[in-house]
Amino acid sequence: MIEGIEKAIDIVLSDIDSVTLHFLESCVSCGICAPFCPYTVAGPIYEPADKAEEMRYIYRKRMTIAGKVLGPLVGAKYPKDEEDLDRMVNMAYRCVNCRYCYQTCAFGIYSGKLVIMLRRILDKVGRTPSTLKYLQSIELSDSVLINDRVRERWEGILEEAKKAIGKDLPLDREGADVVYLPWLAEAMLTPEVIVSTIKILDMVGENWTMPSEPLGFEPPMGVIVGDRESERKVFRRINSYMAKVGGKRALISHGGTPYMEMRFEMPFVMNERPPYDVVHVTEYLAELYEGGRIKIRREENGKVTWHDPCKLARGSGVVEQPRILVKASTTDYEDLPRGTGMYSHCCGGGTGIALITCDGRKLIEEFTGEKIEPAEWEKRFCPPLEEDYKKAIKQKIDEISEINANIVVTGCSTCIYNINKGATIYERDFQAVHIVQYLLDKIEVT
Amino acid sequence: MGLYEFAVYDMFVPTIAIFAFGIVYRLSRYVFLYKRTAQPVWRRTSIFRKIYLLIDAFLHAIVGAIKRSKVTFVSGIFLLHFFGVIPVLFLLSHHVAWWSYYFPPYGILKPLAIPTSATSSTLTVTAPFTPVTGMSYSFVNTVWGPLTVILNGDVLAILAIIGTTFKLLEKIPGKFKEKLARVRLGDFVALLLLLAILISGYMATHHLPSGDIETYKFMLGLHIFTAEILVLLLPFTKFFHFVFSFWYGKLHEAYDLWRRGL
Repeated sequence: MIEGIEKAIDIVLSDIDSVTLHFLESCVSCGICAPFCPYTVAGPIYEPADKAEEMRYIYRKRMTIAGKVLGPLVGAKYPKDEEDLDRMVNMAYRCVNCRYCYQTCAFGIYSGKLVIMLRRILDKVGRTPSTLKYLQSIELSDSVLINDRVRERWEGILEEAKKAIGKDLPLDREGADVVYLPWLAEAMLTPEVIVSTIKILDMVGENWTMPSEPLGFEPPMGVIVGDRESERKVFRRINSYMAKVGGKRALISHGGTPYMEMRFEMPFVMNERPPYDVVHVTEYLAELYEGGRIKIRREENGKVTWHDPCKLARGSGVVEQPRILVKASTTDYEDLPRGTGMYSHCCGGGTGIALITCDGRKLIEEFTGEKIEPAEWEKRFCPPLEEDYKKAIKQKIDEISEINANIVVTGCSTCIYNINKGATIYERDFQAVHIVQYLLDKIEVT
Repeated sequence: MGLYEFAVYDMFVPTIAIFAFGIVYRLSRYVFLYKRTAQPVWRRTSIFRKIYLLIDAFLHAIVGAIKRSKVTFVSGIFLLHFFGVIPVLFLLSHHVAWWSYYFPPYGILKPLAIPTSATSSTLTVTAPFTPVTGMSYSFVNTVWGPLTVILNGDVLAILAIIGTTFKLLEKIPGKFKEKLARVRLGDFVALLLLLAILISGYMATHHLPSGDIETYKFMLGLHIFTAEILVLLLPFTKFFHFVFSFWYGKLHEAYDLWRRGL
């Protein structure tokens, strides 16, 4: 038996509620979810129900009478050796938690949630990829600006924003209506998004503020690595900052994990509803546009499309707003052909996947100036993942190519990184940009 | 005592008792594990949108299967469920009579009952029987009109047998060649049981393999017995989706879509 595995299983399974019980018990193995998962291209063993089955093995062994009595005969077993752990890691990190399996399951089963439970068990037995553990440790530090190099990068962004608006930034100001919350991941992946958002807030004369340093890397990293306590710690930090400045609305430009988690999952995790609204910058801009506070200049600049980030659209219901904005900005708009909104196809690299590839590791090392040593097991795990990641993002790249789009507008830094990475790998000539960056020079304040 | 008497007289009450216990046990787990937590602020959507999402939640997996898993749709959803098990189980005339005997209000569905055959209300297809009418065949007069050509026990049972057999065969390479974790031993047990019920029911209806009363009673007994095995296993197997998991899962999904304002 693997050291600590039983305790890890007990902790994770103690959190089961009736909805999770349904996810664990109701799969009939129909396989309808399979073609919709971005990682099925890596092989049929990575179909959503197959990945979730790893968690079901454990659940049956721990929580069902048949599993305790009949064991493997009814698919009930605990991981017992390195080989089992390697397989579990492969399953747990070939899921981007895009919720497409949930949306297409004949029984409303969210396999991605079971994969996160698997990550939680793995985290407790030391099987979280080192880059993610490193980023989690950054997020849990008293300051996420962990060294001079990171601090310089952050201050460089603030300096650029200051130049762009021609005055000091209203940092940590109390009594603001809007509190812009940029994250360190955005500083690393899409620093121009932070500058553009600040410029728009200033242009429209918003009563706003922002923290002088990010409150997290890509909060909560705990949900990505599978550590519930660290999720709570980061949420507490964000809530206490919001309480300190008295903000009514938290404005978020990263439409991946941070937005969905703060908007929809935080109340469940903290068991309290935050006393402020959580708004994505796309919703904010649509509100300004529809309220007549801004106009958008329509331009001809090639074919433009909108990529629905899975956590912004399927996970949070932000589907119409970006289309209103982008359609107002161009004479040539076309939706992506394989599915939009609830049925959008994921970029293939979210929920930490892009960051645990070799290139992801290099990017983080370059950003922080610190070397991240991979564990021995990661040397077996990373090379095949790298290949599967490329296959997964290729589906999105091919979808964009089908309509010959020149500009892919979206609302998530992770999607931008993955789409642009795929465009480079597969030699396509489109570019993904964030909606604030795309609209910045098209907005006119009325 | 033969299998028929055992199935009809001895097994019935224990089957219902085990079924009831199983359902209570399974549902009680859901009740005891229910946790009330804080809710996010719901997005506002119109009542029409909510109705649309509720219907969509029940339909989008089917639409998804039509688009991306055509084989699964034809075999699993279309043949096995829509044209196989569901109408046969609930509307086949023999079954309507059976349900009505134990639950009289079910008799309201009698006008919708599906005959065993499109051409005769008695033994057909393989039965050595030619109806004596002015025509060589007289069609059965049901509320389904011309649809009776499809909506009859013979056709539906054969479709269900084809669908079930296909699903069974499809799982063999999945389990042993591709080594898919999701293909479980229980899937084979469930599908074999279903196949046994369908084939024995079909054979009993047509007095196969021979027309003598003992063989008929045995085959009918086998049909009832295997159906009882399914009923008593239902709360503990994937068949539970039929009475609970499907409905709970889809209603929860619709609720989640409403919450997120999709």
